Amino acid sequence: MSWRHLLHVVGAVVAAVGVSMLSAAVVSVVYWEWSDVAMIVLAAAVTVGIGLALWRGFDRPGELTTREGFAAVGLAWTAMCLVGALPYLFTGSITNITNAVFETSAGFTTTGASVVPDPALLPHGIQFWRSLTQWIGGMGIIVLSVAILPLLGMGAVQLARAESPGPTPDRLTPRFSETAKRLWLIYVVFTAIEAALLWIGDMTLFEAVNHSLTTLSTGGYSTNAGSMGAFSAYSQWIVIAFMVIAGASFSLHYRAVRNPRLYWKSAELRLYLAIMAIAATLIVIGTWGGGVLDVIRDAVFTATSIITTTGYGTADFGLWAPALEIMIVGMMFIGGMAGSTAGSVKVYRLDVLYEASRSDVRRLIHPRGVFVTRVGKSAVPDTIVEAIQTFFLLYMFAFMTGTFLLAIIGSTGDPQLDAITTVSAVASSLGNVGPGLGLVGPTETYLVVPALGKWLLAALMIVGRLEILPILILFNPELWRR
Amino acid sequence: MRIIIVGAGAVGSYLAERFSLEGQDVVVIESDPERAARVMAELDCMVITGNGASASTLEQAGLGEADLLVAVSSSDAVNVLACNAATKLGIPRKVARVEDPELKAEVEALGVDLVIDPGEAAARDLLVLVSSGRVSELVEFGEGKLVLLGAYVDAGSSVVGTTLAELRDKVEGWDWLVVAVVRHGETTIARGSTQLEMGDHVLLITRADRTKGPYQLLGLTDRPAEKVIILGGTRLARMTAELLAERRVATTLIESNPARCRAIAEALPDVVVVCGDPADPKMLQSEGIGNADAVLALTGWDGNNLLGCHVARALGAGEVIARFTNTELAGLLGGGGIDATVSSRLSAANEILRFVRRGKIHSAVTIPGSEAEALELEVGPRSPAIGKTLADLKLPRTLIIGGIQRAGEAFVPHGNTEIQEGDHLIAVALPAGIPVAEKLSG
Repeated sequence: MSWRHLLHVVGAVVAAVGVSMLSAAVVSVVYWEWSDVAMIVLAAAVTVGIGLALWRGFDRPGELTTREGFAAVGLAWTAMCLVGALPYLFTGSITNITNAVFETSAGFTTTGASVVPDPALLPHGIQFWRSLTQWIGGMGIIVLSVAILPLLGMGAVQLARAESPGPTPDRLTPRFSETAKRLWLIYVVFTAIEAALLWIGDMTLFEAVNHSLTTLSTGGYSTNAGSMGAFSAYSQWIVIAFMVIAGASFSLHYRAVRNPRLYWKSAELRLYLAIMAIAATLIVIGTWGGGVLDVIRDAVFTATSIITTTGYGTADFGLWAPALEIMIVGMMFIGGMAGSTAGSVKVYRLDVLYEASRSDVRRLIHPRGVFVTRVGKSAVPDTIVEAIQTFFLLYMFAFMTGTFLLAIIGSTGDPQLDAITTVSAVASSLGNVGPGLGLVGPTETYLVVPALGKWLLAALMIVGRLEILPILILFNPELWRR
Repeated sequence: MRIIIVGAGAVGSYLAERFSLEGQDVVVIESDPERAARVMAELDCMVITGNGASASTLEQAGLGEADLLVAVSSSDAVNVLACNAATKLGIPRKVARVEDPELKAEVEALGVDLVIDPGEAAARDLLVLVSSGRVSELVEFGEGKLVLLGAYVDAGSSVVGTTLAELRDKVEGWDWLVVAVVRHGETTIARGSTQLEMGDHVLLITRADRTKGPYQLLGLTDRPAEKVIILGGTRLARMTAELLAERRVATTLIESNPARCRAIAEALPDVVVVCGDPADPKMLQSEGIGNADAVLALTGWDGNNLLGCHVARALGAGEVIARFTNTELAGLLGGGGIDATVSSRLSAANEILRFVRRGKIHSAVTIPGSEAEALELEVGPRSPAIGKTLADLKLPRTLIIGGIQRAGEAFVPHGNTEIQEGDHLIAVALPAGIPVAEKLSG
């Protein structure tokens, strides 16, 4: 395995990102922002140039092996986060390279952490690019989790599919490219429906499109400094509904188009909805008072936003009681269903972890008992249980290490980052949520984090987004041996 | 009546024996020459060596004149094909043994009257035994108002050494009747002078709402089992565990093969599956065999089942039931610490007999280890018994009437009970008595 193979693949991805920048240029044309048009086209040209140079310069690899596939995914995502920063830099919207890369990483990984205090002040083309990075990231992650990772024998969705009741085919369609196309179609259709519903409400067409792009990807970038809090209750309920949709499995959506009853048969979906209902109830209790409907809406919104790792805000949960703040950090470790655009650990894995530990407790009573870990009614093979336990261990290890490193880096900042800020920033970045608590709360930005800390958080976003292993494998010397 | 039996395995040869003892024309088709020769030597029936699925073999057996085809070979495919040929030739009644549950409905759609799975039949029999506590037999008759109970006489039992007549005097409110006693593999229809001995297998008929008396007398409990331990991971074990778990009985299954354990644990979420030697006393104790209400030894080896039962009994288990693949062992080894025996072959044969007897005789049940059958028959308008008392009938020693169901009521008859038209008689008969019983129904 050599760099040459990988760079060939990475070149193709980079070129595709460059082409997508042109749609942002079109938006600039619509708003008569001609200087931005020129700079965005220039950024696109540079990006496509780099991509083609890599594509042409390095030979075609033929079939990628499993480990090359892993490594290619890790490198490509990193490269996207670097070149995606060019439109910000060229138009002068964000002048600092660190900030631009941070903003792009939070985009492509659908995290939604931002260094822009008021996005409404950005040119329209750049606002659109910001939302589009999230939408592209969401699209990428659906294909990655539903089509690519299962081919490599990992990823939670492969396991979740086995859970679907009845003799369902192992894949949605026989051909992998066809599967990807159909999932994207679902993704595009949901985006269009949400945009239309928001436009009917109090949003302009531009706002409606941007918010639907960042809802379906569970990204959470808003065109407004007040995030979703600046819009009507109607718009907020629409966004809640689509956050729930985006946090559910897209392959389940696809199958349920023909047979809606499949929704009720999915044990993971039931658990996912139950978790959100419980979280919302606890928040209602914790924030009780004033307008009851507002309290309920804010609670449901916050619970869905954090658990689906979207990260929009309506209420400033930075002002809530400490117990609720701790709960919010905890919710950052849940994530949506496997095969959704949500980040973090995911409900399926949490269910398997719970069931596996229950089996271990039962084994104390029946020392030679044979206990099967199951999700819903279907059994989960032991190898997969172990893989999930390993994943969770690595995830927590990344969280601990990241928190420790950010605490050290944060102490050099001005102001210094306090403990809750540090912990929540790392949990939020790793889980692709977006806002944290304290200095990086929902009404703040990540500008307070020192430059080195932003690079760390950006790296954690990619690590979390790609479910750790594709990044970890890059550091394994065995990969690079011939 | 001409009966064609395809397959002379345990079920087939058992049925052939039953039918030929009753004087039916039995033709057995068996592909294995050795087995065919054995059946020919032992039974009074015609045996054809050949493939039971082939139309020419079936025609050679006289399928055209047959009244009943019983396809009970070990192959689902052969049984289905044989029934198919029978349908084409217009044979009125067909029975097929089919083990694949997915095929059952399809086979029924082919016009097969009874589709039977020996494992399932035995699992259901086990369920009845487990839910009634330490009885060896429990069959309902007369719309459930009368039951046939079986039990073994334990060493310390108070009934040892008493005659049935004495027993009758001893108990107040007498409304049950010992109908047969099986001793050393021989069945005798009970009379007043019969003396009970240790190890006897006693069969009695009682009103379903008055089972307390006989239960007490024979030292039985009528509490349904709440905790059951199954030894072995055979198909029968698995089906029984599934039925028990469905009824919320705490079920533990012990099997030595790890891969099989895993498969069972995956299929049955509510059953605790333990991997280990089913006869290992330490492990049985750690699984709490001492407070198990019932232990079912259902491995594929009769020896292991016998051993497992004795270990379980020694460790204080409640009811102990063994499965025997050898149907003769099933009869011989009951008693002596084993409360009941099952055999999937016998259970299947029972169900087939019950089906074949439909008509004048409403239902029939065989008893493991005994040639006796329990029958329910209706007294028709032309019956010679109408208006006579039981004593007048002068029934042979091969037949006894233990219960009568009349107009929604059921009772245990006396010698001077008069028989009326429309009565349902519950009789226990040895093979020679079955034609007599058929005559009674008119």
